[in-house]
Amino acid sequence: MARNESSAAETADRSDQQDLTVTLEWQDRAAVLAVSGEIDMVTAPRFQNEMSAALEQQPDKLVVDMTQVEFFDSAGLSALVAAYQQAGKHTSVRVVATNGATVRPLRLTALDRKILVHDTVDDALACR
Amino acid sequence: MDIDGDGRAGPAARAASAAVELRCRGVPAEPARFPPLRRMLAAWAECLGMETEQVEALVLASYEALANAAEHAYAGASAGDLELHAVYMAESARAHVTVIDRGQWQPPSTTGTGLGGRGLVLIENLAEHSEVTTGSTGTAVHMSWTVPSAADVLESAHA
Repeated sequence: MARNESSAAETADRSDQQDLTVTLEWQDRAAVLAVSGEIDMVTAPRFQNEMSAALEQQPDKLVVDMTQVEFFDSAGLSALVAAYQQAGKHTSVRVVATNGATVRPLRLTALDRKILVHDTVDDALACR
Repeated sequence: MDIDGDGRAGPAARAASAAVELRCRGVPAEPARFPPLRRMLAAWAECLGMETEQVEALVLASYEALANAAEHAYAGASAGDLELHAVYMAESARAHVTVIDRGQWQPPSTTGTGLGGRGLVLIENLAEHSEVTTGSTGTAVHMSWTVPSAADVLESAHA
């Protein structure tokens, strides 16, 4: 019985951990969040939580590196908007995106006008 | 038949001979079920000879339609199911994707079709043609794309 319960929990866990890796690094007062994998309805809440946790440490800048993201949907866009709102005036939120899967949704929803999109993390860090 | 000029049949010719229809019925409208559908659609579109950019557009638009169906299902008292249908029409060289949900129908409200703002914007911009039909039995989102390589082959065949 106990074994069945634990295997069910593992399965649930695995679907939550589906194809999304998030790594946080600090460069002086800037938080760089490297995201790889797929951002969709299932993984967007985790994406949002990671950004929120980084923002709670009040960085001057939050750079969301999405160059390794292969799928990005409207739930992911909403998560970015939530982070942008949470950041307020204290933290400048920047996105690094180079492939169509991420650049296209940002552009089509005009979110790239609200949150600046850069080609490299260095650019995002250097740009005021 | 030498379509590419190199003795091999082009992607469109391959598509014409391959299975060109996908139909999944009775899929529970739960987000955890969608990633495999997404990968299946990508493989299907690639098999038709669509370019990467168009495959990505088709997969994201279709996913947003599935997300919409999941929202309908969750809004209702019982979890609904949905139908995903993807078909290639050789005569028009178009790929059609339809997502039908039979979940609890939500009466028209301020949210209109129930599609989230950004989801609908993505569907409308990513699909060459899109249409949302809401009725008493559910909502159908229909999207289509021209498969360029197939269109070229059809044209040269008619010339």
